Amino acid sequence: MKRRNFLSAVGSGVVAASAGSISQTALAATPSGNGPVKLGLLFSQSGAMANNESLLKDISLMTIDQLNAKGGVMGRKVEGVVVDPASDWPMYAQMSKQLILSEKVAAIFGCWTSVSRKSVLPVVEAQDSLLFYPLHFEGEEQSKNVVYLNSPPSSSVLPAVEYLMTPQGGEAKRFFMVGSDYVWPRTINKMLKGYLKTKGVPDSAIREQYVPFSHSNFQSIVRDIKAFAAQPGGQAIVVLTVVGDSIPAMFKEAINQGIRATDIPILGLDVVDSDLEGLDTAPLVGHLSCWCYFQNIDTPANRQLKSDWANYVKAKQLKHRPDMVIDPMVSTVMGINLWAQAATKAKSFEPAAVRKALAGMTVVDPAGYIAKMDATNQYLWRGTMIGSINAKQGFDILWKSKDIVAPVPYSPFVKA
Amino acid sequence: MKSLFDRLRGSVRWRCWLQHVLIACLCAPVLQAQAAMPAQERLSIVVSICTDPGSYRSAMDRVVQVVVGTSPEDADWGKTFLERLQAVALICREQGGPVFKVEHGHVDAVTLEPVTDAVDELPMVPTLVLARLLKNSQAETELFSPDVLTRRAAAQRMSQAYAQINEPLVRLALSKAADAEVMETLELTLAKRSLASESADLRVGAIRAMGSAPSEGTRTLLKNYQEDRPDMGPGERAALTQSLSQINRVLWVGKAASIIFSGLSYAGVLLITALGLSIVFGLLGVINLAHGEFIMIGAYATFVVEKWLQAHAPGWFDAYVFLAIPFAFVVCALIGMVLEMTIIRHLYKRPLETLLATWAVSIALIKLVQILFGSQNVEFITPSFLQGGVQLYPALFVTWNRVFAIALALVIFAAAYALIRHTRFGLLIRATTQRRDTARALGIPAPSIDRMAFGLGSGLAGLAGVVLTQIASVNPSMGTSFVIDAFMVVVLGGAGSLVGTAVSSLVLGEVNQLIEPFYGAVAAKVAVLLLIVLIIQRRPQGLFALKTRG
Repeated sequence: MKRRNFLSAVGSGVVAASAGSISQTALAATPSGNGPVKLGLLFSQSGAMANNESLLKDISLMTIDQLNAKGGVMGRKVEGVVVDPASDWPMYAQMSKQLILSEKVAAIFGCWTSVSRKSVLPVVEAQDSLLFYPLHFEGEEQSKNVVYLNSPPSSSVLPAVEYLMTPQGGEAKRFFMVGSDYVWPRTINKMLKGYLKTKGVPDSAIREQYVPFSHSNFQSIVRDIKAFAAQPGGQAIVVLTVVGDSIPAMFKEAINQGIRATDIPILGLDVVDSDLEGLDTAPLVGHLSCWCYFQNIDTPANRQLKSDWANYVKAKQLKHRPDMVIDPMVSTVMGINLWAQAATKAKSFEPAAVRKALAGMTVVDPAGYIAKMDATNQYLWRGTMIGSINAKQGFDILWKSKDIVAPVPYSPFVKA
Repeated sequence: MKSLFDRLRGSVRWRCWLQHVLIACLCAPVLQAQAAMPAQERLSIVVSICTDPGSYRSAMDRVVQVVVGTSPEDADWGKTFLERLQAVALICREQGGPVFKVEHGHVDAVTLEPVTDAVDELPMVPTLVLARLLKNSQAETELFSPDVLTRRAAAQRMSQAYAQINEPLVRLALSKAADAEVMETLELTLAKRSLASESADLRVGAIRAMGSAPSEGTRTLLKNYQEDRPDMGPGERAALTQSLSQINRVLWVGKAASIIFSGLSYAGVLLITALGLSIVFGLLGVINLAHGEFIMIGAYATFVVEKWLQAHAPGWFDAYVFLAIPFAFVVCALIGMVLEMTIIRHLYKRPLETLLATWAVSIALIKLVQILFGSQNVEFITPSFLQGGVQLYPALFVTWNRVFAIALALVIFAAAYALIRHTRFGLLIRATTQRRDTARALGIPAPSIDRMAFGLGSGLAGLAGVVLTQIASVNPSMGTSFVIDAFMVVVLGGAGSLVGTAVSSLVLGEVNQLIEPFYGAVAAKVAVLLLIVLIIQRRPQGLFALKTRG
């Protein structure tokens, strides 16, 4: 894997470098003229993240088709430029550079993991472009070149954990945190520990474990979890922040070792329907996840989106499940629509003008809210929900917020 | 230990009999079949579940009573209620009364009669608290099931959730229990409860009972007890110390055994993924970066067999893992031989080009599978005999899929070893790879031996794919994470030695799993890499070097 990544990185480095030299000769790197407006789609179609990110790529193309069917944006067709960073973090930076400089895209929609976003961040900042980021993440970031379409922890993870600590939620008193070893899980857990401290949870009631990316052998961790849950101090829960292939591997082991939600609930922060695809979910019923959207929500906008997606998957003969829509997909769709609205309002595709037009702009959220861009920061106000895994490889909605929630980019619970 | 426990059980049973008479009076409704209860009662149970989280407990107790102590018709309703609620199929409507979602349409939650009017509302999702209560209530009703395995599982649940159970009901079940295991578990359940008893004798008995049923759970109970009662008597204290040390000893052994077992199972995975490479790289000297993709193809071959059986012979479905073994082997061996014929054989003397060529092949194979099957994880329904596991010993829980992986790894290793060491084909392979020119001079068709050896290595990788379907997730890029591990194992073991491959997987597996529980998975991985660096520095030829005159 290392060697392979290295070689592919070298390859794309050459591409990016040559793209850089082209742009110096071109006078303006901004989209203008009468041809189609390009949007960069920076989603992996191979490697550990392919499973999830290819969904985002395809729904982006669908949304772009829909924009074009309505006559495009300001009379110009929109074109999605697809690249494959192959789940290789440095590649995201190189490919975003290529998209901006050589393809001259008006904006980039991309990234799943925070480490990939952190890799793109210096590129979009240096080129003053815009990255629309569709995942919920650890917060602690506020760049004028990123539009954060999903929730920071203050409006997703913390409400979910708070719920689990109430009598209704099962009075969780002890917390076993398992995560993949990178910035998102570590920041989330740091924040969570700070938060739990204010709730009077002692350090002895918290356990923290990290595994490498693509880790699939969860035997001893699941054993530790069982032992931890049986120790004194009250009800234990697992806060799971592993990503990619590690999610089904962890769930398989939990099933086999007999962990059930009624005894030790697992709050899987990155678990979406697509992670449950290869699993028999009957023994997983009741484990939890928190997102801004679950597909079971019954709203007209959601019914429309779901049928659009099903038709698109069938028409294009994609290998995705036609009956599955997940939160990051919805966030991506909302992001593209927001971009189109903002460009129309600004009468320009210039990132700076689009950014200015975005402030305070609203967009229909299929989850049943009207999402709103914050007036001062780059975050979107969304609703928040807790889902409970059902036997049909999906989520039932256990709890949802009444209205959209104010995003807090910098958490008071993270100490330096 | 045994006699102590028997004595305790005797006393508990005797006391039970006395209490039984008492309980019989207290919960007469439980014992006697009644006339059908009014629909009002059913409605009131459903409504309190729908509207009042505070009354969950009492509503659940009422349902259990309905199931175990009323007319068959009401009992059926109670069972349906529990089952539908757990299946997230109770819809609480504001108008028209609550209904159950059933396979085709809806039925009234009280009468179970079909409902014709449209139902738009979403079903009620049980909260964690309600789900727990439901599970306990379900188990309470199953204490009286005709099936002994169901009763045993129900009794286990009682013991686990001892604090929230309906004690009179458990005593009733105990008095009726015919199965020794059920009886033992229920007695332990009651013993757990009697830790809170007023009588010191009862408490000491309970402490001893905990000591003879060692688990993390009973240890926690005793530790809590120790903390909550600083003023306990000397007899109690002695029993407590004895029980605790007994439990600690047993759990220590269990934990050690479970670490060794997970090391073994990881070693099994390493062995099976490295075995094919140990032939291709170790014997033939081909740096095959596409090895991981052969593993992946083996997994997809298993997927094809699974789907085929699902469609054509559902009765044989569970056997797909075994049917996939020959299929995956043949598919991968054929692909391997084609690869050898078209690419590898032109590059035998040029390792760097082989490296690049096989890398290209690996990318091509990944893309090909992506086009054919998509990039998502493919679904494997674990055969029923590989689901779950067994508690071999306190703190030693062994899962069947890991046992399967270890067993299959051993069998395949033994077969490969026998093939290489004890058959004519194996002899030819060894002759060709060790002294190629001499072998050719003796009339051995070296090129076709190469091809078959490469096919064998690829086929073995395919078998690894079959095993991994039960352990890891299967997608087109799964191979990349295994190929590095496979190279590590082969290099450490010594190129060309199958025994070396086996020993090095065992060492790496055990070392990794020994470190992981104490320092975490990341540290375990780093430590293993460091270990390999150190060993290779001292022994560049690996642990088991092949002695040749070449």
